[in-house]
Amino acid sequence: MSDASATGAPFASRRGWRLAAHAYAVVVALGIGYFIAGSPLQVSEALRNMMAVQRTDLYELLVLQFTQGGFLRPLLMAEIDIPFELAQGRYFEVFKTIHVAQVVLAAILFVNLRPVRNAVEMLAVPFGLALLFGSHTFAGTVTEAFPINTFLTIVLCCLAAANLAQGPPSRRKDAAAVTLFVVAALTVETGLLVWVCLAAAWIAGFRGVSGRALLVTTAALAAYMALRFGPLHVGAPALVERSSGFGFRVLDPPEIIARFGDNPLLFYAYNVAAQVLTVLFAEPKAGVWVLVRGLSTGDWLLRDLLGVAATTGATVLIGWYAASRVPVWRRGEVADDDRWLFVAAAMLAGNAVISYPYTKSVIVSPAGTFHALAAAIAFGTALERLGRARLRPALALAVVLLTALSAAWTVRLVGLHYRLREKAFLTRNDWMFVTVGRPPAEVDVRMYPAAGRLIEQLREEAVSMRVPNPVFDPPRASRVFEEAW
Amino acid sequence: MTANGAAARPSALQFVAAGAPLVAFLGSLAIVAGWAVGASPFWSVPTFTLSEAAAARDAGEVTRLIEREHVDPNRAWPVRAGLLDEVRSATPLEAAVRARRPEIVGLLLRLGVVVPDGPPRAALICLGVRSAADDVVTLLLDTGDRSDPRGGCPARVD
Repeated sequence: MSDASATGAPFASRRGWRLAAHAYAVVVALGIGYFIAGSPLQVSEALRNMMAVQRTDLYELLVLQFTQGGFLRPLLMAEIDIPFELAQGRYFEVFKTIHVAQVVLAAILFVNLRPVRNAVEMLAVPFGLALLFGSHTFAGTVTEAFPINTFLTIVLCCLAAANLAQGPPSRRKDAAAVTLFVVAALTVETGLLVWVCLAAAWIAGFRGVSGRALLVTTAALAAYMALRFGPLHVGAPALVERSSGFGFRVLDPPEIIARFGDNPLLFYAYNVAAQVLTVLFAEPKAGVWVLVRGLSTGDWLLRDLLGVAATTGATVLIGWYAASRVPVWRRGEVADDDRWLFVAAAMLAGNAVISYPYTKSVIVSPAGTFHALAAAIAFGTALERLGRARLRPALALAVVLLTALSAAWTVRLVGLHYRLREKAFLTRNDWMFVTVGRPPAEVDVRMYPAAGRLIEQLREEAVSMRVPNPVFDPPRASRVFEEAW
Repeated sequence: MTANGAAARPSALQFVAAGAPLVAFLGSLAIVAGWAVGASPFWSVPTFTLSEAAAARDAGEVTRLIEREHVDPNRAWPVRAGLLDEVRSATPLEAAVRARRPEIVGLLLRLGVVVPDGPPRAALICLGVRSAADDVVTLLLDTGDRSDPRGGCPARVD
């Protein structure tokens, strides 16, 4: 390997910075993992899914998932079933380990997309990770678990696809890309974004995954669509499936049907637009204009203003970066950073379109991840220019703005820890009200005694887990730190 | 991208602009180090009496104290300042009623707390009426002899 470097830094030094960036990412991710591990396993959905995999064998699960209407997620339950069986009763340990490992892996794959060859490039890494983890689109991947967070799985698949796309091509990468797409697409609908990522990266000029592999992946996508809308009759989710935000509040399915039953296109268009806007501006959240509503009633919260300001600031920074690159693009020169910008835009469009049936911030977590990547690129470029510029008012203003932006994202990142801590309290409390036979523990334990034992075990573990009570937190904390939408 | 080696050494301005997340990193470092040695940073769990847990809607602690620690749920326990205004001692049920926590009242009843018959029951229901805790009152009316003493409660002072 050559020591020749655009940075002038020796290879050993460049490798050191890269290692430092990864170590930093692991520590930040483990800091989040600590709070994930402090919470009992979630009751709603997690318990239901665990009871489902407990009483159904893997083959039966796969067949069942292939034949349900509205959704095509055959691997979703299989991905829960396998660790459930391997856990041999140590469910908490196994599922929490998976969740923490996923967060750590997300951090590593994210940092892997950035060249970190010197101290200045290293300085952009903390900002990127603050965006990745501090975003309201990411929060739902760690505050919830079913008991495996499917949304986080898809974020990982998209990041892995991006990692495969960069660098030199290889057959192994091609095989991995196709496999990744198939697994992601059959896990949950947003898994189709792996194809968007691979295709956008190829169009942008990344050749880590070959055109042939992209063709195979495209054929797999076509087969998925043909099966879904053909013989399997899965179709698309109906309006009755979920509540969804619209305007200043959340509408329940009957309200959605009453308002949009005759013309759902307007509702779908709103959802797509809302999902784009939430990634770029943090408003609306899950389709609800939280800050606008607060400002109009005078009952706004600092956390909502901070979220909008921080996210809009990051988007403006990306816009500045793109504008500054236009002259270079006109000369036909495109750098990897520019290519990632294109991929981020494609992911945003694809993710928004795919979440047309209903709005929820966590659905756009893949787009949020690539928004963080684009912002980290822009921030790194801005930092590098700061180092070259002479002191003048414009520079001073740039320093103030960048400092305010990184400080705002730091508050959002800390806020995630606060919300995880609060979530632990709420989850533990939830377990105390679980009654066998009633939702979410609706099971006949005479017919399935193992389910009764599972519920009892998880409840006992929750009773034993001591968690902090937010009543003793500073009263202003919940006004500063955002809620997961 | 950084164009030369000299620019790779960060300036003070660059540090200022990018430094904020590093503060959070120190917190993460403390958490991970603490986790590794078995400490629990940012995870302070206060010691509660059963009545305090009830007042602070801590269903987990209420259950743990009754089921694991076998704390007597029918007697009065101290309550720290600020949790229930001026009250310094209360039974868990009384604390939950004062805090207007129907879910905790329900939990306490499920865990074997006994609503005393006669005047103490009426006093508890009247406390719920005074606290404007309608859900709590409904739960309490369904206990004991199921009589409704609300007609005899002193008028609510708002």
